[in-house]
Amino acid sequence: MNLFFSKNTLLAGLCTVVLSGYSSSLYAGNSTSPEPTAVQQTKKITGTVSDAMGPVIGASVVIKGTSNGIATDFDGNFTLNASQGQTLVISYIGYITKEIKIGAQSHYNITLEEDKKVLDEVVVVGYGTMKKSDLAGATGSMDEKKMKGSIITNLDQAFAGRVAGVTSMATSGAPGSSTSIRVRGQATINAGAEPLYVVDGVIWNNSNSSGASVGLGDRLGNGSVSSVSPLSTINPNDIVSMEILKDASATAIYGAQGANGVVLITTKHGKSGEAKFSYDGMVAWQRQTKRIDMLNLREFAEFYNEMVAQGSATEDESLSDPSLLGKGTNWQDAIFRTALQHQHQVSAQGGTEAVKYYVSVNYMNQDGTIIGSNFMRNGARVNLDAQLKPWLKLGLNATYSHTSEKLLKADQDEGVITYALTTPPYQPIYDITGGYTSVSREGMSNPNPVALALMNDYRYKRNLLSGNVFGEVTFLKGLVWHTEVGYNFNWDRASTFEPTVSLGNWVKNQNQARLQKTTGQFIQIKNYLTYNGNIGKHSFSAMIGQEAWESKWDYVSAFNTDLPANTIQNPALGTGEAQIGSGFGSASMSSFFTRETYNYDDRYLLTYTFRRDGSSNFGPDMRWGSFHSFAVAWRFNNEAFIKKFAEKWLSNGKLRLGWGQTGNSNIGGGKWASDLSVMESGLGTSQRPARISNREIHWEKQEQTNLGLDLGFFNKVNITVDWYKKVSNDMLMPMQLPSYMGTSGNGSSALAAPWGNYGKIENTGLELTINTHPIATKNFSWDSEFEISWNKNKLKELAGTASASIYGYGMWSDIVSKSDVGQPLFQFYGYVTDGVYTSLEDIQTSAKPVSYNDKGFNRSNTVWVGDIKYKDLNSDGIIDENDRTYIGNPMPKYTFGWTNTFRYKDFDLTIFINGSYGNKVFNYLRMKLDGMNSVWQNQAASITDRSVITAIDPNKDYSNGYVGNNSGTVWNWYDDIDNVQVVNPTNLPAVRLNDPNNNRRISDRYVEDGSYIRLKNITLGYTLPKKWAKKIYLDNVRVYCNIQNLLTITGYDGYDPEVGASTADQNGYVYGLDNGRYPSPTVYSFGLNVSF
Amino acid sequence: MKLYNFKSIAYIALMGLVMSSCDDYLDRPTEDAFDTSNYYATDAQCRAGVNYLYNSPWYDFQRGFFKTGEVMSGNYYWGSSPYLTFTLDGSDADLANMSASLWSVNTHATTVYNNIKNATGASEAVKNATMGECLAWKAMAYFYMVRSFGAVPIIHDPAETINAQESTSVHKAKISNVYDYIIKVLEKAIELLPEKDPTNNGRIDKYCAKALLAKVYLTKSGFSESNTTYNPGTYSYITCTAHQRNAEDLAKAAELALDVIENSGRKLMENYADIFRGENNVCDEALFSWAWTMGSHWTCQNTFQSDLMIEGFDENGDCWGGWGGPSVDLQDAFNENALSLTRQNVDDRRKATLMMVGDHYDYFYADCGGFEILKYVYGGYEADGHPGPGQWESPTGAHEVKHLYGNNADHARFYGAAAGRMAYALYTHILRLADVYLIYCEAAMGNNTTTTDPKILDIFYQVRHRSVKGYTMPNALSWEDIWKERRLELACEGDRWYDYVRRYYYDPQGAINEIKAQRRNEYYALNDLYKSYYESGAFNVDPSKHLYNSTIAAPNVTDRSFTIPLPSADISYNPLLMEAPVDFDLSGISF
Repeated sequence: MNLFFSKNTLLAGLCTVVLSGYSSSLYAGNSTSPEPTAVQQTKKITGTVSDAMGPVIGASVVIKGTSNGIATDFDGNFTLNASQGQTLVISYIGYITKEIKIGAQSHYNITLEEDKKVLDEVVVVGYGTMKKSDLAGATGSMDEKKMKGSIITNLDQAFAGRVAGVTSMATSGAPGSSTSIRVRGQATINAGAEPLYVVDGVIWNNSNSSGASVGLGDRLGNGSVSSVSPLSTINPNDIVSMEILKDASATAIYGAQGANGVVLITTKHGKSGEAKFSYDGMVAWQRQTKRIDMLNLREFAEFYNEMVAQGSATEDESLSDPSLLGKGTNWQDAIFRTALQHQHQVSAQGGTEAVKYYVSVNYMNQDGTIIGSNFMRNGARVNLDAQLKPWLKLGLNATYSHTSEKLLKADQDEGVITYALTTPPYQPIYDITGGYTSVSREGMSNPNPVALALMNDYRYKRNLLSGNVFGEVTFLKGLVWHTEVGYNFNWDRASTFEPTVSLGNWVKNQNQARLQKTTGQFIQIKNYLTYNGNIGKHSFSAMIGQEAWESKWDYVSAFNTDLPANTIQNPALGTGEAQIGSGFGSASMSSFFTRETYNYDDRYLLTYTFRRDGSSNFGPDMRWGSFHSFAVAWRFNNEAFIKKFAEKWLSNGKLRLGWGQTGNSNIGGGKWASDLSVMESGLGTSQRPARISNREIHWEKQEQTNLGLDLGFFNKVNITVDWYKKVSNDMLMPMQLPSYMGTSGNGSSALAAPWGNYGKIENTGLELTINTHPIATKNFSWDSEFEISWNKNKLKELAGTASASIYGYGMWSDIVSKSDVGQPLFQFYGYVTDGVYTSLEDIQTSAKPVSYNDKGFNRSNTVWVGDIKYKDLNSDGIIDENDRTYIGNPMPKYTFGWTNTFRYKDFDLTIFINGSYGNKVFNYLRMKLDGMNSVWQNQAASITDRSVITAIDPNKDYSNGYVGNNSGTVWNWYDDIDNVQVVNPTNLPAVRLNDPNNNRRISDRYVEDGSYIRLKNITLGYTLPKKWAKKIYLDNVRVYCNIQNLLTITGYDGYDPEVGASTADQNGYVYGLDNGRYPSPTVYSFGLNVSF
Repeated sequence: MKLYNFKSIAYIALMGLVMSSCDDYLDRPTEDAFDTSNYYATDAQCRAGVNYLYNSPWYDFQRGFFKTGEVMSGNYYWGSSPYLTFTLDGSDADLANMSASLWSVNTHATTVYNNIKNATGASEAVKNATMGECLAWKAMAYFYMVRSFGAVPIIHDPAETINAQESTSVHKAKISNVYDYIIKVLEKAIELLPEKDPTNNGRIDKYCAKALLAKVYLTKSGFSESNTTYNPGTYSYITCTAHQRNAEDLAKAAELALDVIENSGRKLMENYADIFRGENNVCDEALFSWAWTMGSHWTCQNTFQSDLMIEGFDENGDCWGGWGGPSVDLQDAFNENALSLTRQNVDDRRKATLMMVGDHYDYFYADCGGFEILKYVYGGYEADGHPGPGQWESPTGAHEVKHLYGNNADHARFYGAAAGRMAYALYTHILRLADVYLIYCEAAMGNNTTTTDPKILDIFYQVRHRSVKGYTMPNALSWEDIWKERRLELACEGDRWYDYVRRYYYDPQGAINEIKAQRRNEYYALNDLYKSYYESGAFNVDPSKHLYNSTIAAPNVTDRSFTIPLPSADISYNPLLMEAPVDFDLSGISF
């Protein structure tokens, strides 16, 4: 190129990236103009281009109608020759292009304004892009900026409170862990309630994974959901935007797979120009700021001694004088730590008009705030775009990533958190020899929680290569054929090792190792032809296409026990009963689709979408499903009669109405067939039928109606309101059957109930987003975005009878949730408490619990004073399981998020608040923490508020024994039902070692309000002024600090009210149950972005 | 170049179209497992297809089996268990598992029966034999159900009921219908089963099914619809009034039992304790057994030891049952006393059932020279990695013996490999030959209360003499003698409660009174007593301290105690279950 640069400009040019308007003509200004411009006399024009922040580097300044132009330098200055009367066109990407007529003056100070006309944003809609103003469906966007406001390891973590209609709850606070995302409520109850993720057009095989499905066996529990996230292999820093398609008219193009919403993820692509390098680095410290207030050693001793005084424990000399004791071990402090996280990414992008590239490498390492947990990811991405011919475009996106996780079971009864809370404070962490301690009492040997976290070794490593290659052929103007091959290959390694343990009485003489290798491959081919055209005021587009994918997987695993040592964790070294596991299979889908849009005069918009899908998940006669959708929109602000009075203030006005169908087939393959599975038996290995087959199983079909209104005022305030009603018909689920059909109970032995289309769910909701830019001046600006979503969910029908219901289980076989027809899904279900029994008379005059014995009372066998009184809801005089009812809905009434961004000169400050209202949390952990049924487990400090049993007559003489209303002779006041009372009845029962009244049953005692407001993120950033940056040869420098989860206002007693899907229930029918969920940490981070 | 590019793109596009429009592309049957259409085609496959009915579906019944059979019946003390105190309600987890497990046997057995019936390829003999096994297990499941829950629905073909979406509109069938149904199923099984298991691997044969049928007839003989009231409502239960047993049923029971005793070729094992050792998983004595094993699929294994034995007993960190134990009442029955050091060894069954201070077991911890509970608790077998808990746990002074395998070395002795965590390969015998002997005695006695029939006396003698070597041929037997002998012979084998249930049918007050009179409670301060004995060698019982807890009232045993509630979830699915049962027409039943 015949460019001429001075030494300075040459240097500057190295660091400058011309973001737009790059063409050979741009630099022509400094060369001798080839065109004769003799008519008018030319003169030297100088000027400075700036924006509100300061000088704009690399803006293009061109003389209209000529090829004469130049890019601004580091100080935003330009110089070029022009003549009076000509027009300067100043443009820069993201800014409104300005035209200035050259007058007499020769110096121009030009201020560019940022283009805030979001209406003309181009958005990805699936098999194409559309102007946002042309959209008739409901979508939400997350751009890079929004994501940068929070510290996220996985991109699914970015959604909380950011997009109206999207509820996001982290399943765990462990590094790299999964998040349950519900777009417009829970629309299906099978495991596939998560939205469909599409990365650069390639479907991301996603669903919440169970520990077993990734190869960790039951080490993370038996639930269908675990903390392992399938999305954590994606590097969020490579993502430029995410579009969330919410209503049917938007998702229908993904017909078959769109019922739970679709998230379209677009990764960064190169812009033409010289190479631009960026470095993004971040270091963060994570802490658990909340501790559950447990009894310390002194308080525990007091509790213990009171038990001794009541004959419920034997005296322990070491605890008898609390004043001599210290605080003892704080087990929570022992398992929680301040954990370091750091991540680094280097990227380069650039290219020519014809070939553009984006290349990045990244590394991230995050320790968990519980000792022994860690997540590491590194990877690389290459995105290439090439215009090979004027009519042929080729693209390539490829990413490789490797993740390595060290997992632990934090929650559930045998989790680290449970043990950390219940291990008594008198037990030290280490014994005098430096080994771990262990104490065992009455058959309960709590594993030392520190040892438990560090000794068991559960690791999960993933390798993933994914991406696509596409070609685009433009046959004639407006007619484009897109053809693409997408791929996703993964090879994973999951290993579990449990060493031999000999800690006091906690003895395991067998160690065991398991190793599983899994590979998967996913290939997707798609072709679609798009035509865009317009005739006068009519513009239209038509797209017709085809897509097919095939997914294959296989795994092998080996397990053995009795390895010679704990050091080499290879199952092949084991001397026990070796077990081999192996499986393989495939799935496929084939689809044909079309979309037609019509736009009349930017006033009336119509969209029709149709998709026909075939899935291998269904039987031969039921494979194909068809899905239609229609949407209309009216941009009334473009109507003349409205313009007449509203043009000045109404910058946007659009009414949208859509209806459409989407489908769900996300149940895994083979549900229609009658497979056999292996079962060992003493008589020899056996094949057992796995399920009752149902060849009629077919698509779950969802119908959604959406009514939306977009309003914009003065280009400063934008409001979007959407109302929707979403009905899932023929919901895919296992038939809910009573146990006498033989399909209930242990999934490993029962013949599974048939899967089929057995339910109907309805979700209705309202979403509101308000986007404002109240202040925008040169030095100070304030942007504010508020979103709020309401959703109501109802189970409408279940196959069977009206009385069929769906039960969810807490830990083993305890029913904690029940979903009935006519009720919201997954409500907690149990007894209603009514205080405590304060006296014998109170027991005798109330409804009778099952532990009531009319032959007399006994402290260890019958109901007693101080026990919880439950309500006799059916008034039959007996308190039994028929007195259970709904005791709380885990789904929020509404969720909201509010982001405020302030900028003062070079400083920017973002404050993001989110919250949830009306959701109940079942604090399952409290069953142990204030159960007061054992003196060997530590208890929450709140038990000091328990009901206390006192003697009515402390001087009553028992020297000859006493019977009265007791079942036998008693010798102490505390065994005498006639002589005990509670004078301070509280919500907590009195201490009951055997708990014959089952005070710890599932009841509203444990249901807490999980509403919260959270200061989710505060980011303070400083961008070095460009002229300073220039001095150190850099283009852009930004430093920031961020605090995440700094403050949470909630009435919830546990660590964290944000509790998503339960990891314990086999079917995933429990939501909002906290059994020691790994809490989300507070994160303090510092980051640096540099580009040059 | 241009053409090349275009070609390759077009090729991809075409491939996509061809691949996806072809329906084969979507046809993806399971590749890595059999399905019902390509299995059951050989003799070996039919047998293998039935093997799991001997263990897996029964897995979740283990706790219910023991808690109903032994805790409720007063043979076993289990802390504050509702089975001990008769405060069981329909939300109990073990009850739900028990129901799910028993019914899954029905569904599995029926499904496999139909699969084999409809398959071709295997020999008729094996098809018949394996189909017979399915029916025998189906009958066994119903037999447990009717004796546990009382009236239950008869689901002859579960898949059919499910596919017709009629699951929640079924009624309970009358108890007599269920017994008649069981008889029908067993008669068909007897027709199909071979005289003798040709594999010699413990498969059910004709005589096993006959033995079960004898027990069914004995149980049914006491039941009379006209002496029974069904109480509809929250807890549907039955009220029976006293009457004579049905002589025909008793005769049938006696006939079948005698057929088994005389013609099956099976003999009582010589040494009682041997029956319960892994070496005898398959033996003459065992007619129906749960054939547990170890494998990578959960539910194939035995887990009783975990629930029944004191912590640390095995090496897998999976024992937590020390806080229960065989009841004081059962010890009384053996003339045993935990507050004494003198062990009662007149009856071999005592030591083979109750593990107490002073007992030495060669077959547990054989690698340590045998096992003694006291040494284990306070001293431990340190050399072998068993430190012992340091504290006596069982409040009755006894531990269970029959369902234990011992330590890993003991397990390896009969199985060839160590046990796993909650996974061992010791079979559980649920119908034994000795039971059939006693069934014969009781049934042949008919409605009489005593007998001098030499045949009955001889058969009774064979059972008792095996364990009580000093026992001589009696001159007469009373019904009580047999009743008590059943308890001693079958203690802790999950059977006792069902003796009470069948007695309740025709002698309700007798059953209630006997349970109420039991000593179901615990001793105080046994740890104190045993610990000082272990440390000082002095066994000093202080009657004010070391005593039986007599402050707890007798449990509230009533008519409703004799049917355990149906799981509450089932009642909520199908409210018809709260109604009285209806007459079930068995004429439509075909196999």
